[in-house]
Amino acid sequence: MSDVRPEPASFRDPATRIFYLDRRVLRGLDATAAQDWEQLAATRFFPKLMEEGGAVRTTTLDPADVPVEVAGQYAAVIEHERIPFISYPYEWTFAQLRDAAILHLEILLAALEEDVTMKDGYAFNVQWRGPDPVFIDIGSFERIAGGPWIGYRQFCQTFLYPLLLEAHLGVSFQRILMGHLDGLDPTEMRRIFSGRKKFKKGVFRHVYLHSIAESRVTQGGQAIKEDLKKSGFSKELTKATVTKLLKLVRKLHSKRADSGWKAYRETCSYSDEDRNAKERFLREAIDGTDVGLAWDLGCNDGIYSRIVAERGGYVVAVDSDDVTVDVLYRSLRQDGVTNILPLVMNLVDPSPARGWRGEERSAFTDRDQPDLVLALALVHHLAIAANVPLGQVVSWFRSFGGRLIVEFVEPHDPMAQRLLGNKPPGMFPDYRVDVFEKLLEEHFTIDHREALPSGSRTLFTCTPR
Amino acid sequence: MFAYLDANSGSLIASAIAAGFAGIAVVFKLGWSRTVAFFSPKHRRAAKEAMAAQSLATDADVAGDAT
Repeated sequence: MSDVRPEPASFRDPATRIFYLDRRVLRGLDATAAQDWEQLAATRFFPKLMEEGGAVRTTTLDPADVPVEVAGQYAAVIEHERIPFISYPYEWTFAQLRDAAILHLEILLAALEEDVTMKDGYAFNVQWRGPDPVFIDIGSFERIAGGPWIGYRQFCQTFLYPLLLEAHLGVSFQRILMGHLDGLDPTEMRRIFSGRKKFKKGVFRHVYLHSIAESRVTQGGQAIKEDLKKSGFSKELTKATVTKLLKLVRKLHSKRADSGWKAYRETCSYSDEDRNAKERFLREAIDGTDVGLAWDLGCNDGIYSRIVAERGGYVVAVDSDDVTVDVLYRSLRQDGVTNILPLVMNLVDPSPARGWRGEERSAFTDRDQPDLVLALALVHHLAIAANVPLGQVVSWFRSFGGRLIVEFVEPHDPMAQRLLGNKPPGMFPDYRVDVFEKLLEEHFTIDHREALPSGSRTLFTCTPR
Repeated sequence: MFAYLDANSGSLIASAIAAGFAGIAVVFKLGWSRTVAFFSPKHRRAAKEAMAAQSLATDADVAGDAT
């Protein structure tokens, strides 16, 4: 008998439950949810959406195929396609969050046309297949019952407000959203957008008036919903709300496009000869291997992620600079690359486990086991800029369990010099390639080693011991 | 129909307002007294006082529990 593992984040809506059976993703539905699913599957928009990739591909299991472990527990069981790597909105760039918001609203508009609505408006309902957003919460859909869209507040808090912070104030939302899984509430946002800032696009209506309404309307929500329905709040008005939101979200842009990292490739000091040697080394290292899941830690513009992705597999490309990752995301979409997922994350402080009992949103390093880890031009950032002892950097790499392709930048390299310039002299006596190599050998078998032509960088391919 | 999110009353009104003029018209139709409560300073003060009284009562309960 296989092991049925319930998804720890799937408990808020009691009507449906996600669970895993080996690598399969299944969802149990109660009688009402089963009926909603049947109606959803019979609509015109939903099968089309699945086919186009905008919603997670889902099939109903024949009662005879329901795994014995859960037989009789649900009115129906459906099976979802497996999302290659789970990520959360606090790891996405501005353009990713905006595209996810647009997808969510477009789906809602299409659903409303066929008298179906959505129970929520949560950014965590969207995942990614490479750089393409996918709506995953099939349990969100239900037959329309009149009155306004109940997910409006959640949409504001987890999609619109983070976007407004970046678009109007140039404040990156990722760390704020990581600390507030439900997003900022209207009153907090009103304090941030005080004075004349309240007149910026979308703020007066969705923040200021929203906050006023929140503080002044004290009657119970269900009663207000019924009253609004009786006063003539029709489906057309919900459509008007959603259409206006969609128009607003499409107009939001991040002005903070300029960043030191963006120019990194032009200004970076090492020669083209080094770059060519690095690309060749990487190609040789992965040639003839089954790439599987790869993590490119410190991906910068993603050039090495792309080389790995050309050989198949799925690459999670991570960098701490949100503007750099945003540029990568847009370029991947433009080029039609489908197997690289770009994420924003500070690798000295990677996403921790969050939410109820620390289980709802898993830590980045616990989500899956990579087959291959790239750490190119990363070690000096961890060891020098963030003072992480070299031994810990190497044991951290080992903890992932996959093969490692790593670059060591020696102290006399100009990029390392730049970082060392901020530190007291003599602070890192052990930051040397021979020490690093010895540490690697404690945890890995070194398959290849190559010094780059500039003489200040060395590459290693290693297999875990 | 069952909805698992709290129907936050203020947000429902806000989403109605977000629908534009037609939505605002519906909010007005909810009743004169509520519209007045939304816009008038006098009613705002009354609502604030009511909320303050409520929070004082809650604080007193908590203090009572602690002793």
